[in-house]
Amino acid sequence: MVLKHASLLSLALLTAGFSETLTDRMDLAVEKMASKHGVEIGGGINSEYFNSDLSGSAASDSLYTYETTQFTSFDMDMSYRPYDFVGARAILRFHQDWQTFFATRSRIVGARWLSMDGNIAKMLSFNAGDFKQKYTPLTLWAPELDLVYEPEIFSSARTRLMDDQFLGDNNRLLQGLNLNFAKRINSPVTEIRADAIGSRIRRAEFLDANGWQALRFTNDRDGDGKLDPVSLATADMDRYFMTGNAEALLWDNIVVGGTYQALIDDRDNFQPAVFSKNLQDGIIATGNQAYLDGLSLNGGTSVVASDLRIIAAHGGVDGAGFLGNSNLVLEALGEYASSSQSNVNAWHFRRDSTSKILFDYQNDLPGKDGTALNLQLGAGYASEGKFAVKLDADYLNNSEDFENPLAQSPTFVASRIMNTENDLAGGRLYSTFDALNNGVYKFTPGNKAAGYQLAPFSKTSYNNGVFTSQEISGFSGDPVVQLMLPMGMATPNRTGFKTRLTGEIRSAYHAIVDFASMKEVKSGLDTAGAEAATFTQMGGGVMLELDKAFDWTTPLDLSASYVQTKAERASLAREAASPNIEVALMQFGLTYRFFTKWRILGGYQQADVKSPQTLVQAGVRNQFDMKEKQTHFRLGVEYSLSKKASFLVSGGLLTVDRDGTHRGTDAAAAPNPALDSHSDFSQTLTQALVKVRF
Amino acid sequence: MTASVRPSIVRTSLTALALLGSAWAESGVTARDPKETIQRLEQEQTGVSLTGKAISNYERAALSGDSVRMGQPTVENAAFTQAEVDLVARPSAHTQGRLLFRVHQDWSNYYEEGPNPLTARWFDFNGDLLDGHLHYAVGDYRAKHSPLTLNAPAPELIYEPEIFAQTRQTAMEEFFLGENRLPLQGLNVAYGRDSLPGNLGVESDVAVARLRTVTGSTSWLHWTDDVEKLALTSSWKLQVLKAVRFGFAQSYIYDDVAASRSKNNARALASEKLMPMPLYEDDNVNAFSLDLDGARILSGPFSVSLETEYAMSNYRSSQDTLVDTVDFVLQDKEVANLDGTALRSVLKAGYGKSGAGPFSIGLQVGYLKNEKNFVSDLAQSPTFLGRRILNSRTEVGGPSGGYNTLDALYNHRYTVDPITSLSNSEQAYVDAKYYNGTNDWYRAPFLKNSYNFYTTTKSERDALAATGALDPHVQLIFPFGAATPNRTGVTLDLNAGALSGAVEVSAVYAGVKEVEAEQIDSLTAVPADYTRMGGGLKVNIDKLAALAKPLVVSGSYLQDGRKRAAFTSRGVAVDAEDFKTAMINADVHAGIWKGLSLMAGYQSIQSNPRIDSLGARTVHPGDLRQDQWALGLECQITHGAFVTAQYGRMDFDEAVTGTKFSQDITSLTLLIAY
Repeated sequence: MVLKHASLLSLALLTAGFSETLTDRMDLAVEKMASKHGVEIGGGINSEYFNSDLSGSAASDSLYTYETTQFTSFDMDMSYRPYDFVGARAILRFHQDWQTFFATRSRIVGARWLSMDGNIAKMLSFNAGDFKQKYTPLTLWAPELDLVYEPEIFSSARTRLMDDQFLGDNNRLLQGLNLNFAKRINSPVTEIRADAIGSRIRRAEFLDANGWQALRFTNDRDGDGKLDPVSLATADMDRYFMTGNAEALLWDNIVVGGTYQALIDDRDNFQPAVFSKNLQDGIIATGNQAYLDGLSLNGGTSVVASDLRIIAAHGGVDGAGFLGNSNLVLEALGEYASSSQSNVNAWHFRRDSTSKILFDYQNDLPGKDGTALNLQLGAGYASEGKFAVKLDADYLNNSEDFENPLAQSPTFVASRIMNTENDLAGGRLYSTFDALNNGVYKFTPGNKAAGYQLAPFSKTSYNNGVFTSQEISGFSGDPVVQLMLPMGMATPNRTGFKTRLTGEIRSAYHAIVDFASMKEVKSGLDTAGAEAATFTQMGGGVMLELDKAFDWTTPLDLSASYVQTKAERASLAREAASPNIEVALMQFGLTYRFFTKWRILGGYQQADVKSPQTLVQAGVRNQFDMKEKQTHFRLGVEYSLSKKASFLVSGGLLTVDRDGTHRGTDAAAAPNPALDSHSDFSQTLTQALVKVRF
Repeated sequence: MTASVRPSIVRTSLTALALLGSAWAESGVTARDPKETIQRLEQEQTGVSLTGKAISNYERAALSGDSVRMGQPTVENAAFTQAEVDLVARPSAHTQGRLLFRVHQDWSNYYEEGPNPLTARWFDFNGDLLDGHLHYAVGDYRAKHSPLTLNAPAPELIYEPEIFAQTRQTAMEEFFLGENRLPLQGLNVAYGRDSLPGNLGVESDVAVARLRTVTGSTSWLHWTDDVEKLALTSSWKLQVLKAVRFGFAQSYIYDDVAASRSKNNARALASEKLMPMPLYEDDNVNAFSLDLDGARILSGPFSVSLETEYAMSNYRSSQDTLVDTVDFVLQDKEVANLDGTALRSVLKAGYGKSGAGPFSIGLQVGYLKNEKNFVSDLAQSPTFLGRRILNSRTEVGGPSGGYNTLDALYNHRYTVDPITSLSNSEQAYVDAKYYNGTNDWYRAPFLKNSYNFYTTTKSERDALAATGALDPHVQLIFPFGAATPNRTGVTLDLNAGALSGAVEVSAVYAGVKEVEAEQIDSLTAVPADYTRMGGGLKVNIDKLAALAKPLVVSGSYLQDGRKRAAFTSRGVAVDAEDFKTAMINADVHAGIWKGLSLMAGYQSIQSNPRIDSLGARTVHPGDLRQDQWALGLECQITHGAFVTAQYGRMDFDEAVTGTKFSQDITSLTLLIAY
């Protein structure tokens, strides 16, 4: 009974394995079908033309104001099962840009997925290589954005971008060995499960400091008006992740389980920079010894290694299962996790008074410990075909020091996507909707510019990697979509609750109402001396399936949503601008199949943002109240070539209007209206997309 | 007998060759075994087939010891999944195209990293004509003619422990090595007919290959060579009454001067700022052979045969010289012109069939005389050039700088990494903060492997010998194989078996000396004497005791030595040399339960290499011990699918300089062959 309700449990505690439940895997019929010998080839073909034309006061007239991506790519998904219970899978991508005639290096042929998978005796399944796995939101989880009634024209684009990174369903992408064991037994304990993972999540690698990999940008943390560089790829030593998870189902309606995780930096693997004596002597002789500064191969002057251990316990009960009422939803889930950092070692680079290079080594530095608590309650009733209503309530209490990169690493790391050659990927042309909905697999700059050379790279905001401690502590997210819980339910330094009321009538009228109230557990972490911030979110949306409501033959769906999120705290004396952040996100969507194979898709998104901004100008930290309005409109016509093939033509407009009102400086100077700013830009978007799946 | 069947690309291909007759475009006679029916059926099957193997591996090598430089990484990890896909397209019963490509994924992914490249490792198109008697291959192929003309020499070990032999085989397979066949690229045509009228048989094999080409690049990342080098080899045999075979083989290697100059930047060469003038080296070898087989005369279990080959070589080298500085006219002027000969004769006598019957014995006596100026590039190029593999990034003190023969023999690493200024750098050290225009998006395979299939030239082999690049522990007597120049003497191999191969014994001996004195550091030395003696024993206990599971133990001892008397040259006195290296092997592998097998191996090399502490002229014999042991547990999940866990340790201990370091190696492997 509890397995039937598995899909309703927001924690999805009972799910393990690669995007299918263990029940599926153990099902004899499914296994027989999947166990056929030989090669299966599937995949997809995408062909796209996408153009973005930039204009506005924020655009630079002397740099490119247009960007076009046009390509054909073929993803070939090959599965080979030589035997009933073991096989190999590879996904190859062939990518061809239409505009590269003689640049043969640009014709990409690459392997995107490689794994060996199997299932022994229908009890033990394993994956070696690439795999996807999730446990619980505080242990192993990939937090994703939750947009209420996102228009399909935008959600399908986002899904495609996430699929490119193998994201979805909160599964965490890892590489290593994954084991899942499950066995049904006849006793009060109806099923036992055990999972284990051994994975390497970082590989010691030297990457060019001014290459694109080392110069990814994220939010403006230091308030200088520019997005800050965050290196998500370099690592000075290997990092390993090992975990074990055990669960038991009692009477099929109660689940209890525990998880142990360890993230370990391989200190013995750390490679400091080593210079030949000839070079060292030669450079010192010229007085340019600063060139030799740096400790690690990646140029860092300090390197910190640590071990992190997480112990968690979870439990849940399906009350409706005990009552035997399939229309009723009555469930409770709880999870508690504690994290403990230990064996913290640090290497520091410095020079003494004679310019001699020295390395300081500190071991057994204090680590930080934290806890997290997550309680969920779900109650509802569904009368089949008539109505359904459900209330989900979450309570969380995560300490400021709770750290678990495997549950906290966000899957959305906002990036500049289109027209990056106009602002050199800086913040001047940043738009949430551009980061959310656009992506370029292979972008080759047309001109040498700071931050990247004439070599191709990918532009996407979706991230399937695991952050380091430093990256987690420095991440705040895009306030439009990540203000309250930027790292999902495992976000540290949050306590409070959130609720969602969902209802539907006759499967035609749907509504969602959200309310959340949280606050920081510990104050002053972002701004010294500040009080703890409070977060509130309220809003909701409706979706109408008019064809079902009025028995039409042609589907017509309308949706609308409005969600307002605030982060507030009292100002400090030195803060001239209000520290509060207010975001209102509005979305409207339309999907209309007006003929058998023809559809119209439309969508409108608007984000109104009020936030403080600090700009350093001529050495002075000026504070502004920023008001920003972002809009994104898209309209398209889609033709279904077949069940799995479609052709979409769409056009749209993305606009951003920013007004900055000067409120003063850190030194308490008076507002200066002459420093008030206004900038705006718009991107005219045109797209033609062919998608084929086979 | 192995506890379980380990699949491999090379072994699979050779098996397929036996069945298909054209899988790897092998040179030689078409198959004549009883499986012709199967072969014909498989040949007639058209379409596309996919086979190959997938591997997931985690390996950790931890370096420790007093000689390890502090502050450097002491651990090197390898963690990856790799798939080799062997795609065969057969448009007709008599033609096929084969593509072997590799997909490699190191754990973990970087977050916006570029595409993981596919590597095409083998590509050929081959087929049969004339009712299967003529076989051709275009593209990649492997060829072997004779030990003096076309051959790929490799280290030979007696009763090598299975646990190590598997890893060496894997390392060699990276370069498609095995059975002394040399991988080449070009055109290969083979014809064979053994039942012509008059009890005659003919075999011929012609191979045309391009060995090197010029890219014109000065960056090491894109370097191939500075000469356009072509090879034409052939082998012709006439068999009479199935008892006598007359043979002729030749190999011509030709450097195309005009093509080389057109690709190299003549003006840049003329200015001699970017690189030295290329050295053109042509090598022609003609060999005659006579083989006698006593099978027609002797009956029963006795066998005797004689193989004799006589080869003559001409080596000519020349170098471009600038004769006109105004018009930049280049002329290649002769540097050397050498003629040499080589003679090889092997008498084989035996009783019984190896592995069958109560008793069998085989004796092989060989005589060779290879002159110092005998040059045969396609037979003398060594496939093993030892280098540091594991923990190679870490500096280690001592005379070998961290080099360990056993590490070089058995380990290799393959990774796919971003092309960065470090990997793209031309500096040996991590000096590179030079930016070479990369953007971290491109990734390329990087390989650490002591094996190779490159055809070397005489000047390169001379440099290898002079700079100590050859490992005397496994390459002392015949570093360039049977065609090693400046060797004359006798070799002896004795193999005996009893109880249907349950017990095997072998013994080897070699008494060889240099024909002429060598030049050592510009001094004229005296000829050296080389000796080899050793033997081994292998017992299949499962056969003796009628056990259900395999249980095999083996051991061997092999000692090589080089003696050179003291000499004086150009007023410099050099002490006598008495170098010895002895290798011990011990092996146990046993089936335990169902698919579970245990493997254990031990190897030890004891030697007294020269320690050049006071300069090259003074010889201080060292006291070096290199050994390794390993334990492995292998579980065969099903046919062709294995999980292997292994732990081992390598030790290096040189007593005179006090150099000591160890490497602990742990590995876990999942392999699926399909």
